Amino acid sequence: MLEQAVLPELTDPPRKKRNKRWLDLGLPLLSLVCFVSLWELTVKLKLFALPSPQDTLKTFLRLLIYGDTLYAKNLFQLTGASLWIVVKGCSAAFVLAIPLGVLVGANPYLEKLTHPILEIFRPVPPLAWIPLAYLMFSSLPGPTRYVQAFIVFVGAFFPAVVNTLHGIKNIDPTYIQAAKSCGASPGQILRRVLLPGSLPAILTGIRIGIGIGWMCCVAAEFVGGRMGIGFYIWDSYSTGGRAPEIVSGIIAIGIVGYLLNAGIVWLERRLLPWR
Amino acid sequence: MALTLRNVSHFYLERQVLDHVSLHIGTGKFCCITGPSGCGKSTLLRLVAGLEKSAGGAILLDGAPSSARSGQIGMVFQEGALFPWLTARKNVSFGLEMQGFKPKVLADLTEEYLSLVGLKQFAAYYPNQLSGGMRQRLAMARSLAYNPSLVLMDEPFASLDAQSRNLMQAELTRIWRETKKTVMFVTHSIDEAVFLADQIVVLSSRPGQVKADIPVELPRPRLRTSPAFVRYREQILALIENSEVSYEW
Repeated sequence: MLEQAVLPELTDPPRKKRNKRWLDLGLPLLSLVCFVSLWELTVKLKLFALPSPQDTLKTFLRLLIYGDTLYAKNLFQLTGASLWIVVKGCSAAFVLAIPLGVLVGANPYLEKLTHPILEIFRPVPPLAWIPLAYLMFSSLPGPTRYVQAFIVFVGAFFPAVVNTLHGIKNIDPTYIQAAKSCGASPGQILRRVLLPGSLPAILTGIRIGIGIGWMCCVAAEFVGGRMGIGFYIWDSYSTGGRAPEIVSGIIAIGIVGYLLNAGIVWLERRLLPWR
Repeated sequence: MALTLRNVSHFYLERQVLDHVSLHIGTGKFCCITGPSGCGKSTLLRLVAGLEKSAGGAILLDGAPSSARSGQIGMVFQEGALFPWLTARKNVSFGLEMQGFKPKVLADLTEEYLSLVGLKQFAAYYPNQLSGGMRQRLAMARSLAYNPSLVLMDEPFASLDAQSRNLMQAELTRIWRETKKTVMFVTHSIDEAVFLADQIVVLSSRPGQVKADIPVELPRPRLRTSPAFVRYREQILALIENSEVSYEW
């Protein structure tokens, strides 16, 4: 009796597959349509002083192609300037954080030694460093550039360290024993077991680090500077509430953040074919 | 290569796990170590492999102290301990690389041992794409390829289903006879021990002491249902059960 009740389900898969394909395409589209409708409704009801979706789209396309005449820059140039800061800050962060995470993860004494420092500074929002950063770099010409890169650095550093550290610590010790039993030296164990074994975690750290770095960059640009997408949306507000420009900037920030994440996900798939 | 253990003892913290274990495995012999759970079987293997240092006693390979770096010892772990980020081929060549083989020799040996364990067509697969039995065969190939004289196996078939397990035991017997290694094989399964071994060492429960050292004189291939096979099983079962539980009906 029971088996009979189960049977109809077993013959279902083809239909389920068709449904799934429809869902994969349809649901994201549906969510976009709902979102824009709600947005439109909010505008019609005058709930907030929001620009309409149509105005925003027009502005977005104009900024993308012709740029903003006030600044003589298009969206590519604005996000590009911010991205460049993220590249600098994140590179410095990863160059320091990944080796540090490997060392600390592989050595329990070093972990105890660094634990209090990491745990005190890790919860500090990267933006809290902005005032100090301006003091730190005040003697340099154009301190703002350094401050912004530094804030990105702080934002990207901690996720990279913590993920690398855990990646190393979570490697199954039998892998290390297996390598030892084959006659591997400590250096070979590091290069052939610890590094490839923790690569998934390191890439996760990089992905999170870049995401936070991007957010930090936009926020740091509110405080100073004359370039970048964060500066642009803040300045669009202070020069007189150019709402369509602000929302276009937000959308651009979102798209760039999405692409950065997708890029690392793509890289993960290439570098970790065994997953 | 002959392996000799003389009065080997070991402690974890304050607790003694091995108590003056002495045994001898002759060159090219297959020895199974068995005993109740927690008797220190695996610890014994790890001491021989040099993964841990014994608190006392001597572990001698052909009369001399051993070391993993020398390439004389291969080890197969319970779950295989294959590197998931390396393909089957790269897993096999790993040991060879660690032992510093030249690239040309390394490539030839890798292919040779992949075919020895019947995984030639799966050389480009990652371990998680292989079945449990294939993974254990790959683990054997990895530890055999650099030609150690002594192979240590720590319950390599424990996680396999009964049928794959029987199949792998037959495979291992074939590989062992082709490669002529000295093997020290730890197992919980009495059936497995009688099927594989020339010599079965039964350890007592903690701290592990040698309770019996039994030569198995059965012709190969062995038949699990033959009366002689069953007699060996009964003999060893009695030894283990006496140390683990008391019969009370």
